Amino acid sequence: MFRAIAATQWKSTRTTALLAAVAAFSLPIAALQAARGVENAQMFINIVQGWSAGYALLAAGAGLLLALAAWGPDHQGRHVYALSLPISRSRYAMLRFGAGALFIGPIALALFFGALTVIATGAIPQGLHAYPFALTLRFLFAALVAYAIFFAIGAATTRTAAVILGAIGALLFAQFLLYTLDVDFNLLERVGELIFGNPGILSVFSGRWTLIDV
Amino acid sequence: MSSARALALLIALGLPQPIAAQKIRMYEQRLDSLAAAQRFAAAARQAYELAQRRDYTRFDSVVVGPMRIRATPALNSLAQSGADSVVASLKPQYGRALDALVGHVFVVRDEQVREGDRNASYVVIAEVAADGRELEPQVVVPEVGIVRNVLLSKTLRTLLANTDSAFVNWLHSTSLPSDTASSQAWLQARIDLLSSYAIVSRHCYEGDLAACRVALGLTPSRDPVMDWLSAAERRQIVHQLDDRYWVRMDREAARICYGGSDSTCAALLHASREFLPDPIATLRRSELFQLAMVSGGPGAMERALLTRGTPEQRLVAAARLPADSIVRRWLTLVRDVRKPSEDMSPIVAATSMGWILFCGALAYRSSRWR
Repeated sequence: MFRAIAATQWKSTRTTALLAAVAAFSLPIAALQAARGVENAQMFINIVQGWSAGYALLAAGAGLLLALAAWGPDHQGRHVYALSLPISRSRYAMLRFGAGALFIGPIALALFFGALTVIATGAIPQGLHAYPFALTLRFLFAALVAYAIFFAIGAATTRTAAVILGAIGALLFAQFLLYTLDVDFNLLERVGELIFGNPGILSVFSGRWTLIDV
Repeated sequence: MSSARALALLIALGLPQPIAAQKIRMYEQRLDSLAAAQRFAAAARQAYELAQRRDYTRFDSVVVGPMRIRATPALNSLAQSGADSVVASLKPQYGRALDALVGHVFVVRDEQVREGDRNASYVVIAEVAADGRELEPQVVVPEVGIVRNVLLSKTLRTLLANTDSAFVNWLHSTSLPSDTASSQAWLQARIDLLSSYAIVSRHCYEGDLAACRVALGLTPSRDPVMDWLSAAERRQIVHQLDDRYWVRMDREAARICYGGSDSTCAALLHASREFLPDPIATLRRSELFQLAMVSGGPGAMERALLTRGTPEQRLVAAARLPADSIVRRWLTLVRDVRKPSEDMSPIVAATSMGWILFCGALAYRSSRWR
């Protein structure tokens, strides 16, 4: 059953997965290219780390698109296919979840090979070190977190999605009210700290993503 | 007009005009007025500092070993525990060198600061000069740890100021080390060496101990322009200095320098020696002493401060090792210390797994019915 689900899901996902894999492979190489020929080690590190956001964005984007693609056929077919299968809804959801998560693997692998290519060029200045395993692992976890969040939202009913959107809207409105009432309290900042600070749901995205460091 | 006359006229127009005597007088007057303003500002500052003098007779005396503190009664216990901690932490390394503190008095007093519609209590910590002025007062919150750290930094600053000027100038720091260096310091030193504008630092990184001694200032350089830099670097630095409007550089000589004349580049840099920074940050010199603390064991800083001599002789006394051995150890640490990647940690992995499972569980429990 899993193989059949994965095969059908691959059809709706392959373009996204392949494009993300190409981007993941290219990112470390592009960072190296940008840093090539700089005057000293400190500048090299600064430039390479300037590309940190790229890894985080790619992980988030890949997770989002793969999650949307996982539920896409079901949403288009109004879930008739799922209802016609002789398995429970929860098992079906887990099969979809597993199949989608599987496709993150090749993207992370592409990033790993991109990082290895950077090392193989020998262009890393003396005294600096590359951390391909740690970076790949973080990318994998970040992409899986993003995928899991959007998969859960995709699996939810329209009402749940409306509740989530409503909560975000309420948060923005509350911040606006605090601002207009001249209350010195940054609600969005606090919420941001909760989400991005450890152990927040998006904490894996925050901080430095370093392929090359001392 | 003949071409020779036209040329002479053009040259005359192109030459800078001599400054009129009247203009020079004007500049002199301006300079005099600026000097007067500077004298006025200095006098005003001194008057202000003198006005800040306080009567410390009603303050409590806190004496911990060689450390003397005047504290307001309310802050007596805070000053006592801070001083206890400072002396206890410095005694093993600084030993009898702490006796230099006997001639110095610190003050710990409270200060009310208006914050909006309420008064907030802070602590002022300073050294008291012989004339009663508070030197470099620091205002901090009344917490034991913070008061202790400020007292520690002021103590180390005072101990350094009691040594000879050659050592103070060489160390080029406001304070002495209180502890061994962190691994982050060695990593920063590596970046320093590799990112230096001077080739002597990179030679040091490659293992040339003599170059390390020059880069660290242990071997004084008679001619830094030639000792620190390669010909290409000399040319590059002339270029950089030439771009700075505040550097007066002989443009014609600079042009010859760019053309490949290294002697001209060197001459230009000799004339602008004050614009050449040290090959690596002088902070690295403190790290030598932090390393000496490890090698020399207890009393290392006591020996360093009580030894009369060059910085190298102080370092050798502290570490009980030849200077080259200390430099070699320093270089080994700079080259070999590694840090774990900041990308991944077990906490990040565990947190991520937790959220993935949580979101998976939400999807698992989602309804079949839309």
